[in-house]
Amino acid sequence: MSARYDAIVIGAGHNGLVAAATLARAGRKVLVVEARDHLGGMLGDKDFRVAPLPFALRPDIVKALKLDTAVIHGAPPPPVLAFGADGPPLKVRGGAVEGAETALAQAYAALHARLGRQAGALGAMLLAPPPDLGRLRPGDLGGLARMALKLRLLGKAELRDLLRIALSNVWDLLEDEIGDGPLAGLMAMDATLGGAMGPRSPGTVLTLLYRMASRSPHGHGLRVMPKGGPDALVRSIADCVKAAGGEIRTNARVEEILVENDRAAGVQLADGEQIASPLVLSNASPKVTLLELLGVSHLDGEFVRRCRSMAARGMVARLDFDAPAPPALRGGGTLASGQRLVAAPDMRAIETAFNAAKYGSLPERPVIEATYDAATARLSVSAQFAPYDLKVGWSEEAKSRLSASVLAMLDEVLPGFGATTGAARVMSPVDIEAGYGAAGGHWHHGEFRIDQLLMLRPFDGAARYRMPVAGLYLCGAGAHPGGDICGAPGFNAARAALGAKGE
Amino acid sequence: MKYDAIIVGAGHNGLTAACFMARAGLKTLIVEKEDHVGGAAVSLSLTPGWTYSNCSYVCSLLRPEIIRALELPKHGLQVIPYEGGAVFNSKGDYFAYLSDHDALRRELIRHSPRDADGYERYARAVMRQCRFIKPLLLRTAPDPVALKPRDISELLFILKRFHNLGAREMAETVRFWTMSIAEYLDQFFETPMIKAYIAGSGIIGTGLGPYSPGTAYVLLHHYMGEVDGAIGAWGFARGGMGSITQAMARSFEASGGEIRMGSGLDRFVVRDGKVRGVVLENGDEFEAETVISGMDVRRTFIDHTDEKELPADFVRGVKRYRFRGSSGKLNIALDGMPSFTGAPKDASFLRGDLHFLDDMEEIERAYDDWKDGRWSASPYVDFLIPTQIDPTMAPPGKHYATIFVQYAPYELADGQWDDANREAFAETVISKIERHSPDFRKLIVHKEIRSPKDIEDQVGLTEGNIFQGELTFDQLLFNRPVPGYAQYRSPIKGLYMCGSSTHPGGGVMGAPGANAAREVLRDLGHRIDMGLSA
Amino acid sequence: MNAPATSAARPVPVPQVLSGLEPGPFHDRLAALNHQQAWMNWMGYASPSVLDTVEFEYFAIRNQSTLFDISPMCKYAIAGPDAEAVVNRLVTRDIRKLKPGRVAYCIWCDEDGQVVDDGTVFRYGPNEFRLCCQEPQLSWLEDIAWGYEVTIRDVSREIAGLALQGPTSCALLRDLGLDGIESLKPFGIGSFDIAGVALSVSRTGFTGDLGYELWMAPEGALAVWDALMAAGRLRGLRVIGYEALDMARIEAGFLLPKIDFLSAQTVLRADRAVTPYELGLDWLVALDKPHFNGRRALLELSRKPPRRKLVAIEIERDKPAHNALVYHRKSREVGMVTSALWSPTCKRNIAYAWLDAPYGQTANDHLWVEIYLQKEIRWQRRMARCHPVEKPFFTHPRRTATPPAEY
Repeated sequence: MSARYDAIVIGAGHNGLVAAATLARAGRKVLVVEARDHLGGMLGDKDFRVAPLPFALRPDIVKALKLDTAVIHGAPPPPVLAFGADGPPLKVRGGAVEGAETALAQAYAALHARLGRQAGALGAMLLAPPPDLGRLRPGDLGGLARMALKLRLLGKAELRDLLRIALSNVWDLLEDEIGDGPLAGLMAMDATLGGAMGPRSPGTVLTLLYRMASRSPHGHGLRVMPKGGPDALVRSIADCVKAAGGEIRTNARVEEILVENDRAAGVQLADGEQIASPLVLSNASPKVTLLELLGVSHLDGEFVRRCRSMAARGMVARLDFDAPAPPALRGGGTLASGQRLVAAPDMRAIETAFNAAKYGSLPERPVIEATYDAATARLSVSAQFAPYDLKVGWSEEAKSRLSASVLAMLDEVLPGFGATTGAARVMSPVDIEAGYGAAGGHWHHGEFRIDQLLMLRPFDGAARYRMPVAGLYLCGAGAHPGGDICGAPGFNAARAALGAKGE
Repeated sequence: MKYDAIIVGAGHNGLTAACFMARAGLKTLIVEKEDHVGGAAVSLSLTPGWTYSNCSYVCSLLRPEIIRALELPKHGLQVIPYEGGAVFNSKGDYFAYLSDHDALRRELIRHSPRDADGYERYARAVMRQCRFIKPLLLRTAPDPVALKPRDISELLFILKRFHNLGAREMAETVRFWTMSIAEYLDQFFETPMIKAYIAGSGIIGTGLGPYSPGTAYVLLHHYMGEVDGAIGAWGFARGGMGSITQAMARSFEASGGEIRMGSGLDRFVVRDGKVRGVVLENGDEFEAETVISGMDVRRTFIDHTDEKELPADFVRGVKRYRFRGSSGKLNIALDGMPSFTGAPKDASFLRGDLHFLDDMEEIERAYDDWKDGRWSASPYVDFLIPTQIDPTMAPPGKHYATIFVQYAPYELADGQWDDANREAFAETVISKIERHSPDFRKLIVHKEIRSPKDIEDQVGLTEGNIFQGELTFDQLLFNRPVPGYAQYRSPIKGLYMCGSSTHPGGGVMGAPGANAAREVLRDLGHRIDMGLSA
Repeated sequence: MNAPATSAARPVPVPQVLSGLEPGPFHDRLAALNHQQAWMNWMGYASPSVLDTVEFEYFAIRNQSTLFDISPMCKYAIAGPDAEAVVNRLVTRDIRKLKPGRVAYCIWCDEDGQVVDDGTVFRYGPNEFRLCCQEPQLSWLEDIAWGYEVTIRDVSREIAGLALQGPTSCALLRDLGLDGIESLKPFGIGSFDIAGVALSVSRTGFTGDLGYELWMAPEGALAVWDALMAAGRLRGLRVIGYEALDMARIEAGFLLPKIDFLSAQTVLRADRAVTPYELGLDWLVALDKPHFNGRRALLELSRKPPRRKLVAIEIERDKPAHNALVYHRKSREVGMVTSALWSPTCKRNIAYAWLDAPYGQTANDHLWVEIYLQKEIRWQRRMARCHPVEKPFFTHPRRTATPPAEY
């Protein structure tokens, strides 16, 4: 075999890069192999970004990798525009709302702050490596005790409240606290975007809390555009890998994970080249890593069954429209570059859009999130719910139907936009699956729910990053704590690999 | 007049609590607004010759420990198991859930050998969960925030049981408690009709569809029933569901208890944060320092308690508590036994629960209608003809059909639950049944239609929710009905709750009543054995 | 994602017996001979427990030859280019060493190294296998086979089976014109026909004696039966029920699922599942072959002594120790008996018992079983000394001799 490395990371998505940087900085000789011609996975394709609006990379990872906070966390994001059924949009900066009635704005601010506190307390659990069910180690107990303490610090009333809502649905929570409307639509969008759940589905409070747990110097629960755009974020982690002596190869598709004596031994690329390494970390989704790259012959039948039945049904389609000029907003003004727009007039609209997707159809009125990039003169839209398993199949016709219904929605909030643009380029969940090793085209490589969290993420027997074949680790969003741009799975997986015996 | 304890409402939980009070030697009074006992467990004659179980209709969850402790068989209760059940699909085929294990296996193989195999795995998986959860029903839910010594010991009890499951089963348990029933069943079965048959039990009485996370465990709620110790078997109470509460009433009276019927509660009398008694609508006043309400939490505290006596956070919690009725009911007197297309004549499974469904999607779509404030265009029905087994409820050769219908909203988006809409609702159901039973309509002698609104008005179940409040995570265990008040006590000293609004919730189970009685007796310093140990 | 390569299991016509037991392919003949009217339930089929007299049926196994209907066994056909890989992934033995035309007794384990079931693997060709076992395994097999190019079919209803067991069985088959049957070695498979019905005959059985199992299509089942019975007149052939067979299998050292151990798939309590090491079946686990189901767990388990063990014991005096508890020094409870028998041939009081470690492993002295005896409706408790012994209790050279001796 050719050159020998201490560790190989499959996939240069942000989690793969974070894992590689963590290993390289610990003195390991690391190689990152990336199938595509660009780094950053869903974040990094200049032609078509699956994730144009990243959440913030976790501050402690930024610190551990000594990344430039000014670049990673950029400037404070512009207010989010939340469109209701009519009138100008509400402008939302974290918990502060402009354009809503005072009572509602106050209720929203209070809820936003409360969820932030509760998410912060849960964050200790959501972001640390999960405990091992049935075999608690002293280290796990320490983590649990820390979290228990953090939860106690919330105070009895807020803790009781958290224990009540944690497994509940965002519909009931928001109906109680702020009533249905564009603000509820905005929060419910955060709770559901990327997953296969509507606002009425139990478990959506947890997804909301997960997003509320994302932190940056600008506050919690925010989409944060790095200074210089997503590419700058990718570049700075990649630079960190290289600075620590790591190598990154693009256009190097891994075809197989090699196994010798029941241990990972390296990878084989599509061109037949074999690269030896005692550690292999995969940023691809669990299904792709285990069923395709590793192969079921190394795994037990029950393990394969659990892997196969992992819920990972992508529900978001990405559409890019040409936008020669900043689009004009309903109610005046224009959409700023990097500004986030949400057109989900209320929770009911989201639930109704979800109804169709449940049965494998496209909704008549999808709910959307959009952002405008002045540099590329492009309006990038994430539309839900667009099911991976569309009954009629993701034909060109289906895509153009989706494109038309999204454009109709856009025309309502960006009057006249339709006249200035042409047909959208559409990336369906099927395209995302094909392009990024994400089974089901799912943003998070697997549905984010209580039965696929912590020691059950991605599924029972595959948690804690280590796979049954020694030396193989999962470091992508399929591993705990999951998706969005936070870097925690990559960071935790690298640390698990560093801590493993024989390393 | 002064009593040691007063129970408001002679439903099965109020009666259960009252029985335990009286058996502890307390001078106990039950006040009941109707002129009969029973609440939602009644047998009524609405047309001469027929007896309807016109609200709840099957017996499975009633705890055997309670039946034994209250000596209900001695007071006339007989529960008779019923045989299997079936689902009919629109293609003229059926799946019969036969009670004979080998026959069921052959029936499953007829549809899919894979499902026959899957059924064995499924049955064991659910059985393991039943075994885990059953001992928890007759225990008070620990409060994970207050963490008093007793809460800690109860939590440890639960954790120990959980740990004893072993690592694999622990993971399975977490999944079981949080997954949707659709996804849960997909692990075991491929035949749509078979999945639909089983999924029905996961959604009965809830405001969720089979695709909603958190519906798999509701399955348990409906599988936990036991007749003669056989887990999963359901039964009819001989003489209708009223015979359960009538046996309870007799047991209560045999222990020296007193029941006053015909006038509902006006208000609880509260002074200095302590309950002093009750005032009835007819002006009668009774004193007691212990009052237990079998009514749901909203009726108890919003409708019948002075808000000034209650802390604001409690009132907020009660107002937030969700009912959201989702079901209606038809009770029908039949001139003869209807026939079912495709079913062998005299098939034993007709003596069980019958459904008319193609797949789980049909139930989910029925749920979508409800979300938008309409009754389901193609509803889920749980259709039983108990008179095939129980000879007491209709004249010989005639039959009684109980038809539970889901989903039906409490409030219609368009219009009210007036006679026209109730008839239209019944028509939706009858025409669906007629597609599988062509002679059904012409056999109808009399029918009673109950919308969620009727169930609220006539039975006192708020918004027509059959469980006195939704069984969602935020309203279970230590959250039921209000966080911090989940141990049957209320903010008012001496005033307790014992209805299905409290842990472990609805179904004709009696566990809330028995648990409440245990807490009350504990507070009163009675250290007696209630005879509930398994 | 690649779709499962296993074929959809087609629904097969199933008789509409809405309740009760189903008649098997030999039912008409069995019913005529079942003078005791004693039926038991075997996978939903009516299976005779005793036809006439248990003792005589038992002695026919050891002295003449016997017929027992084994059609209710679960049978799965596993075929395709990856069939060997799939079977090798399923069972703990190295199936690559099993040549076509041979049968192997196997067990298979779950991912925790706990036994799922035992059964026999028949290899008909390089890419063609059949699995015969007690419990339904379709979804288990499909899980194991997922991702492989192989077809798995439940053929339980497509194949009728008869066990022809006893010292005269070879001679009987030879009388019927099965040329070369005498050269069939133990665990060998041959193709023959009887009364124009094609048969697959394997030299296998559950009695520890000379014997064969005959596999055929259900349509030809009665013709084969009648031919065997006719030829059997000269060879002392007797139709037997389960009870006689059970006596022979205990003597022969065979374990019975649901009696001696439970499948890990069926237990409700996690600690009831058992490992091959606890069953004393270490010899069936080939840890040196490539990955198979449960291998990593078994590797761990093989490194430490089992927490309990199923052992063969011999008990003093002559009262069988059914359902007895086992004590150390008559005081400490250390185990329980699963199967017990006064062996009519060995004249020994034998049993299988689960013993908690270290009993049955390093501590084998001072063990007692507690036997309850009823003497004219009075129950008596008797403590009887016992000690672990090697299996099998009964063995005879004719079981393996090829060609078998004349009788």
